[in-house]
Amino acid sequence: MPNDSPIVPKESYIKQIMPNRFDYLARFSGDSIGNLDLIAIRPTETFVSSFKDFLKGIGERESTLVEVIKKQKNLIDYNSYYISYLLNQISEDEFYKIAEDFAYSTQAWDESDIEKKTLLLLEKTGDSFSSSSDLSYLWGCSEEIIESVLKKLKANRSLR
Amino acid sequence: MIRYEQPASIQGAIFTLKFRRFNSYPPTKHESLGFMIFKFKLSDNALAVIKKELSPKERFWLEKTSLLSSGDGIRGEIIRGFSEKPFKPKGGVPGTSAHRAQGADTPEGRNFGELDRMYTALLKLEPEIATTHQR
Repeated sequence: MPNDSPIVPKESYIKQIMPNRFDYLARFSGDSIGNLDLIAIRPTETFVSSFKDFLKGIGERESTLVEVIKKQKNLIDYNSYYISYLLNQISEDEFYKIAEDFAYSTQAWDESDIEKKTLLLLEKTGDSFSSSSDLSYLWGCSEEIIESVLKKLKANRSLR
Repeated sequence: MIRYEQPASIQGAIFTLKFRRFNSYPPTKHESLGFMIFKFKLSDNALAVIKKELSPKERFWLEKTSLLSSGDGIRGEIIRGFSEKPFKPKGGVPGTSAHRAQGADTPEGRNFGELDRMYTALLKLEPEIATTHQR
């Protein structure tokens, strides 16, 4: 191999030098090297693929939780103006203008995505967000879709 | 008539609301109604009664088969709803009025309320047991 070759050779390079290559990960387990009682062999591609799925799952969970945090922050900010309005610190016209900045439209939703996010949130927080009003605000969808999702989760016994 | 069981909803020009907890949410541009709504949630023993009917007395949210008459209402653990204008009771901050038992009125406009969660005791009843609760 030339001096400037990478430490981990590129796949194309390996294919070039080893056209009939195979790629497996092996795991050995036992009391000693001479007394192995478990040898597990798995194609590297399968391992990498399941590892990628695992990382993707973590990424999705993280983005869901970040989404919730952002929405809750937005709600706190909105309610701080609302309290000022209730306490007559800002006029109705002024509050209306501020409220318009916070206004959101319900988005086109993917029910399976909402189901996944709702299940995660309810698993992690218990009953804190179990009302359809809270969940519809968080996911920016209608209460009807939330009710449908909650019914489905209960039917699947994902929720007690 | 006060409805205690789902599905139940009301539409009116003014509601009288009673509750122990009030949650408000940023306004939503409602896709089928076509106007901005101020959503709220009443919980811990919630009641919403129509004080003033819509004029003309017709549902503005056609998909919902809501009660429309003055005195009609819904009661339960949680009521969700919205007003066309931000809710601000004349007495000040919700729940702090000296006369809170009288309830607080929504602003006049298009108001909607729907029973979100029935009383827990009703939820535990067998479905075949008929329950009619009227006040």
